[in-house]
Amino acid sequence: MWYAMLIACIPLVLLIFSQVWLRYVFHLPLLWVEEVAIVPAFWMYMMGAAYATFERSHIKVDIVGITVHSPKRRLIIRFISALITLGLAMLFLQWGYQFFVWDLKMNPQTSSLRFPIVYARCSFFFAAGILGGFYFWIETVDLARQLFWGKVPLFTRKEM
Amino acid sequence: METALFGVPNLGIFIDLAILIGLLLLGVPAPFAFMAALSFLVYVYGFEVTAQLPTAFHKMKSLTLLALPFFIMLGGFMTVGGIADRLVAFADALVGRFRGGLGMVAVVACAMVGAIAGTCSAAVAALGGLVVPEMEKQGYSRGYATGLLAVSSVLGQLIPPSVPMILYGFITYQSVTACFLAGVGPGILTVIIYCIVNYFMVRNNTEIKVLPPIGVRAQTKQVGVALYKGFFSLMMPVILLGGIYGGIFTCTEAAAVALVYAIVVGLFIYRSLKLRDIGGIFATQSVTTGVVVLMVIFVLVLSRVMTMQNIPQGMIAMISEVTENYYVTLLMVNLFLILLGMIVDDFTGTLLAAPLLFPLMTHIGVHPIHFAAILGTNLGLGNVTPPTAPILYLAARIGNVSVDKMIKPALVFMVCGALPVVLVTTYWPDLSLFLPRLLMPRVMGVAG
Repeated sequence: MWYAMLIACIPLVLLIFSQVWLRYVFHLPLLWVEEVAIVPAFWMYMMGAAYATFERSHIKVDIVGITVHSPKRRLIIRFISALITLGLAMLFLQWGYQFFVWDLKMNPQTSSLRFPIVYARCSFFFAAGILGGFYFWIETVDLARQLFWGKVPLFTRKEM
Repeated sequence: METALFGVPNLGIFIDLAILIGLLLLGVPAPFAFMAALSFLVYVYGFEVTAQLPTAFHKMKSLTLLALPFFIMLGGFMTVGGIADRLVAFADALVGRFRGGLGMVAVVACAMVGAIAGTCSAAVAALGGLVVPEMEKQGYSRGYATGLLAVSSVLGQLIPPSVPMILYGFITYQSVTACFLAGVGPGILTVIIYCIVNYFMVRNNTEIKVLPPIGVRAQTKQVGVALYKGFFSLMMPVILLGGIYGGIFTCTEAAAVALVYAIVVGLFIYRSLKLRDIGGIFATQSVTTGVVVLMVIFVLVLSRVMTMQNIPQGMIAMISEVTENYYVTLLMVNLFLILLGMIVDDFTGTLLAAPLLFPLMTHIGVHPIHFAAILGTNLGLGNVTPPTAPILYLAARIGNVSVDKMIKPALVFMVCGALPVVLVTTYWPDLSLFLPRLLMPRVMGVAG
C-alpha cells in the first residue's frame, strides 16, 4: 500500500512539472495532462485515506482523550465511536459499489482523449471502500478485544 | 423544496449539525462524521446518493485540488530538507539582536515558513524542533517559547500559499489566488502585533540574554551572510509567489515546481535530504491528503444537497428574523467560527463553515474574498483556544512541554494579539481586500 501511494505520487509530480517545462521550454502545451493526471491523483487520494485507517491517523477531535481520565471509560467511548465508524464505513462501501456499477454501465469518458474515467473513479470503491473498510473492522475488533477480554492493543500508534 | 421537517422550519439542518458535531466530539474520524451528516440529509429528503456522487467527482477532477497534496508535501520536505533552518537563520540575522529578538525570530520564521508550506501544523512541525531549543538556550522558558510558536503558527494559513484557502476557494468557486492575497494583510498585522506583545512580555525578564548590539556595518554583513547561505531557501517563496502572481504558472503548477525545486535543493545543495527519505515523505503526506480529500467529497455532496433543499435560504431567513444588522450578524459569525475552531482543526473547520455560511455572508454583503480572510483568522484563533485547541496540543507534543506551562503566555498572545487581529479583519474589509484589488482588479470586479 505504501509503495502504491509512492507509485501514484511520483508520476503526478512529474506530469505537472513536465507540463510547465514543455510549455515554457518547448512551447508545447500538453492538454491531455489534466485528463491523465486524475488517475494517479484519485488513487493517491483514496489509498491515502485507506492508509490513514490502517495507521489510525484520520483527522479526529481528541476531546475524549483530554477530558476523560479513566482508561476504562475512554476505551468504552472509543469502542462506541469505532462501532459507529464501522457502520458508516459499511455504508460507504455500499455507496462505492453502487457508484462503481453505475460507472461501469454508463462508462463516462474524458472529453479529448476518450479515456474511461472509471479507471480513476473505481479507486473510491476498491481503495477507500474495501481496504479502508477492512482496517475499520480490525480496529473495532481490536478495541473489542481490549474492552471485553482485557487483551493488549494489537497495534500501538507511533507518536509524532 | 421544503426546509421544514415535521413542520418545524430549519429543523433538518440543526439535527444535521448536531449529528456532525456530536460524532466529531465522540471521536469519529472527521470524514465519516461528514458522511453521517450527509446520509441523514439524504435519507430524510429522499435523495439518491449515487446520483449525487458523480457531480462531486466531476468537480474533483479539477487540477486546483492537486495543489493541496503538493503544498502538504512541500511542508514535509521543508522540515527534512534543511530549508526551514536557513529561514530561521535569516530571520535571526534580521531581528535577533533586539531585546526579545528571538521571540520575533519565531514569529517572522513562522511567516516565512507560511509563505511556503501553508498549514498551521506544517509551521509548528518545521519550527518546533528548531526555534524552541534555541529560545530556551537564551533564557526563555520552554512554555513561553512553545506557546509563542503555537499562536504564531496561524500565520501558516494566512500567508500565501495556504491550504485552507485552497479548500475555501475550491468549495465556494472563488479564485484561489485572490483568496491567498486576502490573508496577507491580516498576516502582516499579526506579525507586527505579536512582535510588539512579545517585546512587552520579555521586557522586564532579566534572565533572557541579548547579544550585544553590533554596528550597522557588521549587522549588514551578518544579514548578507545569512542571505547568501539561505539563498536557495529564500528563493522558494519567490518562485512560488512570483510564479503565481506573475502569471507564469497556475497555483498547482507552482506547487509542483516548488516541490521539484525543494527535492533538488535538499538532495544536491543542502544534502540534508536522503534519497530514501523522499518515499516516506510522499507517503506520509498523501495520507494527510487522502483524509482531507475524502472530506472534500462528502462536503461537496453535502453542500449540493443543502442547496437543493434551500437550506441556506432558510438559515438566512432565520438569522434576518433575529437581526438585520450587519455588525451583529458578523459578531455571531465570529463567535460561531471561533467556537468551531476550538473543536475541529483548520481543514475540517474550513470545509464545514465555508458552504454553510457562504450564502449568508454574501447575503449581508460581505465580499467572498473578505470572508476567506475572516474564516482564516477566526478559525486560527479557535485552533489555539482551549479546551480542544488542536494546534496547541500539537505544539506541546513537538516542543515537549505540558500544555499548562504554555497556556498562560499563549493566552496573553491570544487576547492581546490574535483577538484584535480577528476583529480588525472582520470589521475592516479593506485590510484583506486591498491587495487582491490592487493585483487582480479583473477578478475582484474593480475597473483596472
